[in-house]
Amino acid sequence: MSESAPIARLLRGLNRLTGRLAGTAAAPLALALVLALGSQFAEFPLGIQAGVALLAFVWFLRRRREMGALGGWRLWLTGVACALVVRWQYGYWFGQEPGVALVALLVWLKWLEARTERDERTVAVLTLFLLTAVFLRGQTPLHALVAFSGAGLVLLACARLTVSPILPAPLALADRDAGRAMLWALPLALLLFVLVPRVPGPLWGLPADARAGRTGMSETLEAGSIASLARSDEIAFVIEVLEGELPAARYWRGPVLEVYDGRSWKPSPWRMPNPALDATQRPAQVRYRSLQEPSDLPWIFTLERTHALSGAVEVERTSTGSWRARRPLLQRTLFTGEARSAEPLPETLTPTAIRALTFLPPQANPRTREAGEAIAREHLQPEARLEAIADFFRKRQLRYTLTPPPMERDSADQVLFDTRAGFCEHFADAFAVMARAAGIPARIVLGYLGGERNPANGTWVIRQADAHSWVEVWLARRGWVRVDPTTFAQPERAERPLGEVLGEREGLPLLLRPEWRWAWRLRAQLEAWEYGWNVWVAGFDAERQRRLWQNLGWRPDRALGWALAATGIALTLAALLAWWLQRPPTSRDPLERQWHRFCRLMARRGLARAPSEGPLDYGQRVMRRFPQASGEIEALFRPYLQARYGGDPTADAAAAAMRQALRQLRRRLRQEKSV
Amino acid sequence: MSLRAVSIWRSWLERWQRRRAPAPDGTLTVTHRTLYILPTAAGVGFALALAVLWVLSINYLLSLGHALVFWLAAVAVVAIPSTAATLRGVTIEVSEPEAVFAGEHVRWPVTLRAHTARLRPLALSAPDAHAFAVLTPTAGSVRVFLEQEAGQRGLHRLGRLTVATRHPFGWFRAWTVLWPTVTAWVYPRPEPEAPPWSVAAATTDGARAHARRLRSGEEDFDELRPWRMGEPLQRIVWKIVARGGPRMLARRESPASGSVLLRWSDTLSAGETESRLSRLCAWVLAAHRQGLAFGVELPGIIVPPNRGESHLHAVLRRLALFPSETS
Repeated sequence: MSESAPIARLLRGLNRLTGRLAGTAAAPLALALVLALGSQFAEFPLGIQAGVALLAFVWFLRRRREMGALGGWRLWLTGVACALVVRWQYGYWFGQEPGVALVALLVWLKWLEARTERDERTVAVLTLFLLTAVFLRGQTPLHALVAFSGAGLVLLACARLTVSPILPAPLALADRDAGRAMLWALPLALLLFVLVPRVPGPLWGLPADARAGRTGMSETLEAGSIASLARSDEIAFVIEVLEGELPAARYWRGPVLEVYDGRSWKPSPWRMPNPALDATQRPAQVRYRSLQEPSDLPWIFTLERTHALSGAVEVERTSTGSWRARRPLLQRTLFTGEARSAEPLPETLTPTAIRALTFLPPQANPRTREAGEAIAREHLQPEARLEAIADFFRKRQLRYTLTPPPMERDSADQVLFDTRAGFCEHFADAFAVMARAAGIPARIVLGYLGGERNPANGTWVIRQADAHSWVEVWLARRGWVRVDPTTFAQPERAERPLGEVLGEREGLPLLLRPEWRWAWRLRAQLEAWEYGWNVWVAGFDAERQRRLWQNLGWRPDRALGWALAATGIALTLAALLAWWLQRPPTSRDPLERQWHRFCRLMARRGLARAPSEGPLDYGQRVMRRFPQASGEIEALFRPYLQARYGGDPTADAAAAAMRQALRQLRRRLRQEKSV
Repeated sequence: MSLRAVSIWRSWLERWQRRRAPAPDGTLTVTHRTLYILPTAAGVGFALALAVLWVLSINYLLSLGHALVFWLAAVAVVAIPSTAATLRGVTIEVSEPEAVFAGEHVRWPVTLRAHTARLRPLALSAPDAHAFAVLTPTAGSVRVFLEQEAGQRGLHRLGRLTVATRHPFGWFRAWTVLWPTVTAWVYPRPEPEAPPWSVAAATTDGARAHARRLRSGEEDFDELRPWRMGEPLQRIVWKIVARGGPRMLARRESPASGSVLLRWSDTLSAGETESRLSRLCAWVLAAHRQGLAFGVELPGIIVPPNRGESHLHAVLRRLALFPSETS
């Protein structure tokens, strides 16, 4: 008793707060709105937050005091003010963010003027819109919990709104029937989720303000741009190998930087003709699925020599062999790629392209250029020059560190001749400069290296900390060849994670440190669940659906798939409905139900009750047939007789006794069978 | 033209529904054959909202948005049998209403019984009628009164009775229609302030004396109290009702002895047929109230004087069924 006192006090307080509101349709609807708006409140600008809070407060006060609906010019004026606030806060009208904000404000206004059931239903629909908008903020299980429980509350409100003036039913009945319908809908919803053909979106294009990505790779390379990423253990993408095996050195290519201005590297602004794909059509060596986390860039990080890639968004292969989408990948996106492990056919370069790819600004990095030019004078063959540059790097004994001394200008010179320490981007920069000085076309590739195998589900998790940059040089006979200058300083880096090769501890995420393995395992399990959720629930798109159907052995082309799925669902529903309607109405009298269960059980054993047979006669006949279970049978039909004909008012107790006896009877009959 | 098409469609629909709803004794248990269901405006609105949310989910690549929309759609689909189940198995019984006088309201008692433990929200409607009262004899059943204005004397039927429900979500409306064969008697409207019958109508001395007393304007009851439901209709003081007052009950003097024969020919001063019937009705009621044995003489029919409730109703039914001028 004493424990429940605070709860009772709390409930009493809550009742005082809400007044008579608690027992109305408004209560679940208001709660749903609180869920919908509360979960994205922090994302609204201050003006919208203030507006929503104010309108909600006014609504609450008016409802609590059971004041009538508002109307007239004041309401219109407030509506216009709301629109202006939205315009002022966002700077534009049309878009996802202002749209959601406007609905978040107008839903309260609509409610303030609600008079009829129809008005309240409009509020319910607007609330559903706001609940769906929750998913624009993210699609984690938490978001799902918020949106689905909110939608359940909206449905409850719909049920409470449906009252009959002639025959009012208690709200509890409406709640119960609505709740039951919601539960029954679950299997059908699952069926629809899997079977209804997905339309590949977007339809009219994501607005420019659709949710922006987070930290991640940038499109240019400057000193220190990757070292800052190495401190983040956020996931960049997750790879699931579907066929084949990943190579030991797992280089995930992103943007390729070809333009150097003496300070930074940038992708080439020109679109060059796409080189022909490998004409030999050798089979794919690796087929993999890649789940890319949102980012601000359109680049998709793919395994080297990926020749095919498909996903929910349109992708194209650039002339540098990278893959990019039409738009920045602002959403978590699933791709399926195929890669070959064999060397591709040598790619030819025009003299113009060679000139562009060996260009160096005249003033920058004089010492590196000089060294490169010296090597070019010494060796004639590009292969020999490359070897000489590699030798040069090895002899420098460069130190691999996350925290190199700051460098202002001529970073290649500083890395090679002054500090002799750096991170991958410094080495890549220096190597590319020197290769270009030696007359070899060179470019820098941004991407990720390695990744960790998650023991929980076998996926490869690539984090921002795995960000890497390396160099590709062009040799006339071999085409573009990867050179990772970091391996000259730290030969193990290519095949081992950063935490193991980096001698120093400072600046590394905790979980990358070897002594934190237990926490690492725990995280691996959580990330495995997250991956499953992201792929199977949050990332279940047209592509994913098609693959699921194929795995189930069904390969429809698109139009046929639509028709089949629609017909199948319609037929299933119609059949269920027909079955349900033909069914005789079942009694909901608990006593009757138990009695029928008993009759059915006996009928299955060939002892059906004759229509003319009373409970007593039937019970005695069954007892004669199963003498060993006579105790149970008697315990079953006696309470029934007593309650039905003996005028025993406690029918519920009798039903409970019958249920108990039925359970024992079943057990007894089963034992009999097994003996 | 389109109006004509609508009326043809209506009549065809009604014939079709009548074939499906045989209810000779006014009792109907709703089965799948007699149950109709269509989405309501709210349901169509909800479907449109779902369509919009679906398009949004497609455009913003929201897989969970799809899941939410599909769940809501599945709930809507489940709502179809759920709404039907609210009505299915419900037994509708229309009982015979108490006889009333023209211009009053017939109250049709409708008993709704659920096959389940609880009766869920139902709505009743019939032409020109409104449901007004609910009594709950037991948990699983309910009695509703449909009040319908009794315009003309005669034998009346309720007409098309609709029992509908939108439970549980209001997106669908399930309904059933029946044409109960139960009839209601509507007696002619008693003439307010009717002049007493002629002394000649009285066939005995006592009755003659009584008629004289009436013609001189003396009231012959001494106490009034409000009428309660279930009490005999004929003891109501119709004069008061006709003036727009409540139904009052008169405590009568001891029954007068004697008998009267109330004649159609005596009502000539009342005017046309309906008025004459009204006067006869008022006389009949007055005679019954005063405890006189009374009979009526109508063209072609003579009901011999008698006393008692059943006699009164027999006479009033004669009056109710008296052929009107137009027919």
